[in-house]
Amino acid sequence: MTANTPKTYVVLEDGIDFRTIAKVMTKGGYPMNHATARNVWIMAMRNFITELADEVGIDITEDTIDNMLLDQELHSSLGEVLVTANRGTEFSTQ
Amino acid sequence: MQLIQTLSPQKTKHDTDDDMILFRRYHETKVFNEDGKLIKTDLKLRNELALRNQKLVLFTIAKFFSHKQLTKEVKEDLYQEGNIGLFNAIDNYNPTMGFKFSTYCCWWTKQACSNYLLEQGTELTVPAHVRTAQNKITKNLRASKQPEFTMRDLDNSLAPETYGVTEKMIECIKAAMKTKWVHSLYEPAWSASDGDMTLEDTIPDKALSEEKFDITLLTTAAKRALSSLSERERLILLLRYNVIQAIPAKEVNSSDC
Repeated sequence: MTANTPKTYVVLEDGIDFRTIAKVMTKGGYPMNHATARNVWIMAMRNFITELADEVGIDITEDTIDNMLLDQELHSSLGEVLVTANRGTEFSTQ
Repeated sequence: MQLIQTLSPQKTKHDTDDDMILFRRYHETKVFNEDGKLIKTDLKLRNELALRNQKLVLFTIAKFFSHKQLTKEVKEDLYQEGNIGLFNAIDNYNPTMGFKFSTYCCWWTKQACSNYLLEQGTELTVPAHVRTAQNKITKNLRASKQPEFTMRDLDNSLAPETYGVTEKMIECIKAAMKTKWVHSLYEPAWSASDGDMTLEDTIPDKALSEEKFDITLLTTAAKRALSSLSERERLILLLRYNVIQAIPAKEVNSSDC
């Protein structure tokens, strides 16, 4: 990634970095490096936002998703939503 | 009584004459619309008249409401309501009819204060004409036969004509006054027409607020969106937001070995 390439994601305040994610995933049976972890996360975010917009009934464009991915506030609130949504599921460690 | 005498707005003849001149001038500045509603006046003159007659409000409150056990805050509110009544009186006073302003203003101030006190008494807001009817019933019955009469004694079996008001108005008064005498939350609500509804049912449930409802909807949608992702994507998403710190080991199919 060169210096002129626009950023496609933001750094999270309370999030785990991609190297740690890659290590955890590799240990869990999904071998990957930090770049793959980042790319999969960006893809997952795109799919998640699209699905969420479908569920709520909002038409959303690719540009909107790009803007949303760069919104720090959205990421903070999304973290809270995911904590609530993940309660009681098989991956819950709370 | 001493207080009333102190507050009594004793004006000299000179003052009264000045007032009447001002009222006549103010009356001439009034502009009414087609419906007879006041749309424009000389506000400066109106304020001057209000200041000159402000003592009337204190006098009315002292005379008619001093016997009531009122808190300081309510008394202050009452004074403000009285002032609103005073402004109404100034707007509606017609000096050409030959009555003194104090006579006219006293009624407006008294009515504004009574309305405010009645509104304070109940949780339910009722129209002004119902409040007036409420006053009328109490006053008539206390004066004539039943000095100990309270609104609680309103009886359905008696004809509404007994009280000099309509049946619907009695229902309104009872509904408004009922909030004063609640003994239990399981009492039936307002009238028999509500069926099995109790007072408990009428209390808003804070736990089910609109905001919480929105969050629940959003969480449900997020759950569905999460389940639509592949397992690898879902795990990375949850790890990235620190929702989970470790993942279960991936099941390896025997055919893969």
